[in-house]
Amino acid sequence: MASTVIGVGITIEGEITTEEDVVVHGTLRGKLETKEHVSVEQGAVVEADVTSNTLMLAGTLTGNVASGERVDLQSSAKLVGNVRTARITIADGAQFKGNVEMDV
Amino acid sequence: MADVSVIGSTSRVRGRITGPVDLEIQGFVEGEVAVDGDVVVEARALVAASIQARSIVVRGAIRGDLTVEEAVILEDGARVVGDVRAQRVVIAPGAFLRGHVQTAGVDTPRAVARGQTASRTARAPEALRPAMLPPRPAATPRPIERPAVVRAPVAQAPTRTLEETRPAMKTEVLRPSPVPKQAPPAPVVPALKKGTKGTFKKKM
Amino acid sequence: MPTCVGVGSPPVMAQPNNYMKPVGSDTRFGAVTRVRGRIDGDGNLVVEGAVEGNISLRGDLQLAVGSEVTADIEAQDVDIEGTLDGDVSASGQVHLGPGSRVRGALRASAIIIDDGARFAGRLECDFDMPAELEERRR
Repeated sequence: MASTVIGVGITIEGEITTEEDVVVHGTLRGKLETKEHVSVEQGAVVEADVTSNTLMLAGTLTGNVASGERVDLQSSAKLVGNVRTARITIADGAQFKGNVEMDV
Repeated sequence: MADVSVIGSTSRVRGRITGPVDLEIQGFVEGEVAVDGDVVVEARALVAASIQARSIVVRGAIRGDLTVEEAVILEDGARVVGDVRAQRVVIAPGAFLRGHVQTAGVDTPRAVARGQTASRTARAPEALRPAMLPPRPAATPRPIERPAVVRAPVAQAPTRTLEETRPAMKTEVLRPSPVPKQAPPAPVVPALKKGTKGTFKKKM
Repeated sequence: MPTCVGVGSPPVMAQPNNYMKPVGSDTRFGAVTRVRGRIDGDGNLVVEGAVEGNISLRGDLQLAVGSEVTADIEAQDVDIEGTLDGDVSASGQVHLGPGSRVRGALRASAIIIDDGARFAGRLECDFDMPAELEERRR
């Protein structure tokens, strides 16, 4: 499966729009939009509004999240922003500040 | 951990991409790329961005300037519009480039770079010599040593005359010819402002 | 095929010890040959020595290893292994070999630059960019 990988050490300031999975190890500032899955790995820093089908967050994200299907915050996750999704899981230890709006 | 960052084939990035990393572009990038590592622009990729990197291999299309430390390699299918500056620039059959190119080793005045005489050799950059004095006729192709970073010496050798660059040759025959076939200087037409009347005041 | 060399002025100044051996329909300027002036021709030309002036050929031009040419060039295919100072306009392809050293603008339907070639100048090559990159700036 083709995917976009923002590797460790890389910084993208701007917008990413795609139709495939995006894996972030590095830094992204701006906007991220995909129809598929986004994983923000441990150590990654995302300062962007994220739109995706699903989101796995293990790193740090500052921005609003709109994920159609689900959002999973791992125990190492840190999220500042509002979340809008159908389902959300928050692991023990995750830091989160923001509103959750769940579509029913 | 991913070592290489990938902009996938359906991805569009608008903005700046920076970092001490390698980057592979399969999708669309618009803006600016400045990484310390190697960049590969894959066959279907579209890049509207200037790129700075250690090296670049291109199989896709780029509109933007490429400023590279080591090598720019345009492979079959590459299409680039922009200026290219690198130690080495390779354009393979099937690759297209429109723009200015600057490799290492051309800035220097020719007579200096050839290093044919002792005094010139002394000033010739070390890395230039092997490639500049190849065996003749051409032997079997040798692997090319990659030139080290060449700082062009600012030697002011007048280089246009062939006599200087090929000291071993007989030159008498060429001597007598004055500047060959040069167009006469363009006629000098006094520039008149629009509306100037047809009277000249002689200032004498 | 007749090959006219030095038509136009000033004429080619050949040295008495010139090594100009035609190879087939080719014209060859040997390593000790120096030509100053304009060169027009229908055939192919191989330059091993020095040329100062302009070269206009219907055929192919080869600037061999060790050649030293200061000229604007028009030809079909141009293969450069030596040193060239001047612009090239080729109806076919231009090839810069690994030991070449070129300063000038190149225009051709195809341009190939080998690793090791030293080049400074513009490349003019007609080709279409993908539509997505076509319209923008520049």
